[in-house]
Amino acid sequence: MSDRIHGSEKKVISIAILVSAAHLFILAAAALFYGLTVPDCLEGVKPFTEGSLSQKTDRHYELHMVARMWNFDPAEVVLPVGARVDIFVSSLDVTHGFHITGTNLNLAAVPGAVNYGRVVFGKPGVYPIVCNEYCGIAHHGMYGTIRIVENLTAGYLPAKKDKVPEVASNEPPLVTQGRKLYHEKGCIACHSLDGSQVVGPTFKGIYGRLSYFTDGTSIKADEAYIQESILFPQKKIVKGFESVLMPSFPVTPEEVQGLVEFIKSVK
Amino acid sequence: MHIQPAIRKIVLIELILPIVLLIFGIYHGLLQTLYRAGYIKVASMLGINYYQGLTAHGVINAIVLTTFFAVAFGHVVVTSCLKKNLHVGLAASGFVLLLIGTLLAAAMIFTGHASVLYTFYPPLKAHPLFYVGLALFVVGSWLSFYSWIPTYRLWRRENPTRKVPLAVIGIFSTFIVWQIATVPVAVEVLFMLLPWSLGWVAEINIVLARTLFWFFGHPLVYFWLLPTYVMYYTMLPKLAGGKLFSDFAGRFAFLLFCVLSAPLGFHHQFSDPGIGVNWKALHTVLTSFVAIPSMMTAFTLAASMEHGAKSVGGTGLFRWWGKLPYMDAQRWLFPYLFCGLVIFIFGGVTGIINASFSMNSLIHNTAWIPAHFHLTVGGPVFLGILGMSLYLVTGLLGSDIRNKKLALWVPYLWTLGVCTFSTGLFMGGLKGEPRRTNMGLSYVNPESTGFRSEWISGASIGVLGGVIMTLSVCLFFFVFFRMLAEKKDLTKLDSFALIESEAYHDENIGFVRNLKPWIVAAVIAVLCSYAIPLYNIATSKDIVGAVPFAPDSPMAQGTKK
Ligand code: HEC
Ligand SMILES: [Cu+2]
Ligand SMILES: [Cu+2]
Repeated sequence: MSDRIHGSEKKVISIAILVSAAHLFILAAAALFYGLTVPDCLEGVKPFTEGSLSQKTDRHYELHMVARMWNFDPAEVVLPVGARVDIFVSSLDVTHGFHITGTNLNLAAVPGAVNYGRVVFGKPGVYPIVCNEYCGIAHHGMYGTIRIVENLTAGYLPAKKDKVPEVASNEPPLVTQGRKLYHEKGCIACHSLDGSQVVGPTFKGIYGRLSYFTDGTSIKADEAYIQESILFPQKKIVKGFESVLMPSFPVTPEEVQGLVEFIKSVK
Repeated sequence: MHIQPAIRKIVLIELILPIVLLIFGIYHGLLQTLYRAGYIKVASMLGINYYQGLTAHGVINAIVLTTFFAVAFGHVVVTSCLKKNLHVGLAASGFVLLLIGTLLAAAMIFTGHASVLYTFYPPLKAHPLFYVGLALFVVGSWLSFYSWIPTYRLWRRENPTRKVPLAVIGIFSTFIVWQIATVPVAVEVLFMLLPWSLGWVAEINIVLARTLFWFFGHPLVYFWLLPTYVMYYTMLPKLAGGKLFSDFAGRFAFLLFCVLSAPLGFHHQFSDPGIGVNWKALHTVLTSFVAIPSMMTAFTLAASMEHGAKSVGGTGLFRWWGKLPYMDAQRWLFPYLFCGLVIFIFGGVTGIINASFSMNSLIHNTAWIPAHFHLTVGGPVFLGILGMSLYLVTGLLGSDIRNKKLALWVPYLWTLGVCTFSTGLFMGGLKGEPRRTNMGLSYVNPESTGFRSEWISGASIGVLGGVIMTLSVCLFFFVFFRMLAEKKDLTKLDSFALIESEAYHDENIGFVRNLKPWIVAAVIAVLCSYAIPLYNIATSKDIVGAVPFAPDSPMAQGTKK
């Protein structure tokens, strides 16, 4: 038995320490000289509930991104080439991910806190946003887009699909109320207005359409059926949607009426 | 082998039960690859939703299998290396709690009340019984560990001048790491998640919950790894026909892991808000140091194998590699350990990439991450568990392996499969493909508005790897269950022994003789790196509490009537 550490073991330990130190040195240099760092603690920034885009200077933008089950607000952002964007991210419900693929911006959207990162978009093109943190049953359907365009004077948010519009002068008040409820009650998470399929059937053109059920029957969707679908979602299950069941919602009769009128209006 | 009849029974159940559960774990693993590549474009198969199956896959393979194995392996190592009895009461109650915890968690997962994945991040909420199951499971592992402590103390008293056998140092280090790691997660589960899921408190601090989870989550990976390190240091040299190059290196590595495996969990939270960048940098530095014992291990093991190969006529700088017993059916355990080591080279390198501060943002939560950890926990750890379970169950039952040649092929096939699988996922991950996502319903579905054609090739390579991995485990199941059915001869138990390598350099170095100073150092390290950030997070005015959500509804559970 020897009381000494073997020479080669000593050498290996020294080499390992040197390699680790060199590695840390490179990371430190990248952070100090190239600004390659990770999100910090933000002080005095309260979580927000609505997405928005504002222009600070010519090429400098500030984007507020809200993640919620199961979409981003805004879902689409258009910006000019060279835009330098300060991005603030928060969540309205559970933890989501916010990864702008093709860039180094990869943030956790945590409810109750605000996260921050900056991106400079040097090249034109489409930069898809992916939610990369499991956020529930429709997590795979949670994505968005940032479009970087040449010769654009100012960035904008194309008609936010999910934005509550000002009351159109000719829109009946019940429809407006229903539209609001569609957002507030979270129907938006599972039912789209533009024909795309998220978790449940799209509301587009639903009124008067034939709905086929798992028990083999079908019904032409009328007011009574839509009302029943909202109040007793499990009564008739639309074929092809049996894997994720629609939850029951606490809604008053007036609210149901508003929702029905709104759903009818989505053509 | 010295083993009490009661401990022998407990060990056998603790080894066989998780291998039976593994049938579900592997099935859901294969399904993941098919969903992700769009070979099946559905939300559920056979009544089990994608995310539910993913939860089962993670909990069974990474928590249940690994913990049961570590406990059973530890029972055998401590009792047979020290040739002393264990505290049966503690070992038995530990086993019962592990069992009840597993059954509760499994019941909640398979009935769809806990589709929260094995990281169970709030504010996604599972059924309270799921959290109860986790808590019981953790306490069960503690009691099992405590059953060795009187044995160890007694041995030390009776042998004041002898070195504690290396395997015992290794397995104690494993459970010291586990003991430190499980305190924060127990706090998270018992004081945050459980009362909140029962509705007793309305809101919890999500940043705090995530931080406590990863305070546990990183040392967890060393808890997985260290039993395999015990096999590497104490069995691999002898299997290779040689001796352990340095006994000191083994002790030093294990003790360094005790100190360094816990104080660095922020490298899983680089993307999180609410944690200061300087603390994240400190954890990066500490993570970099934890590579030191692994590099030392790589050298020591290579040197030990070289000793083995050269003692049977191997020569040259590299030619001796050809002399190792790759295809020796009598030493079928060798490739389980050897292949794991080879896989781990890639697992280790990609792990350093993950932990490299700003570099992490390129791959955080992408498919790159599962690609990485299938080369660590799915490589050396999994192969070590399979090989050692087969070895121990055969020996403890007095049974025989009929198909040693087949047993030999399992690790090679697995290596081929897992490397293929990970290659596909690395490719996708670098292009931004997310982990934990039922991509068949969106990203790899041409009818979806989210279609991303560039992710298909990687995901398809993942399927190929998944199929090979599944074949390999099926082969293992065949060998294992056939061995169980073989005629048993209990008289063989006396001659059954753990493989124990001798040391080539058997150093006597003072500072690796005692566990105590290292445990103190570990606690100090953890306090230095976590006390202040935890205090800041818990008292931050910028973090607002969060109410619970069920995974299948966008309606807050707290406000539901
Ligand atoms: C968690 C996802 C989810 C949410 C949230 C949700 N639904 Fe549904 N919805 C579904 C699914 C899935 C179906 C189809 C299966 C069924 O009939 O239950 C459905 C069906 C419907 C239908 C019948 C559609 C048809 O084609 O026949 C209506 C109407 C409807 N939902 C209205 C609503 C309203 C109004 C809300 C908000 C208050 C809402 N849903 C919220 C998932 C959801
Ligand atoms: Cu998500
Ligand atoms: Cu880690």
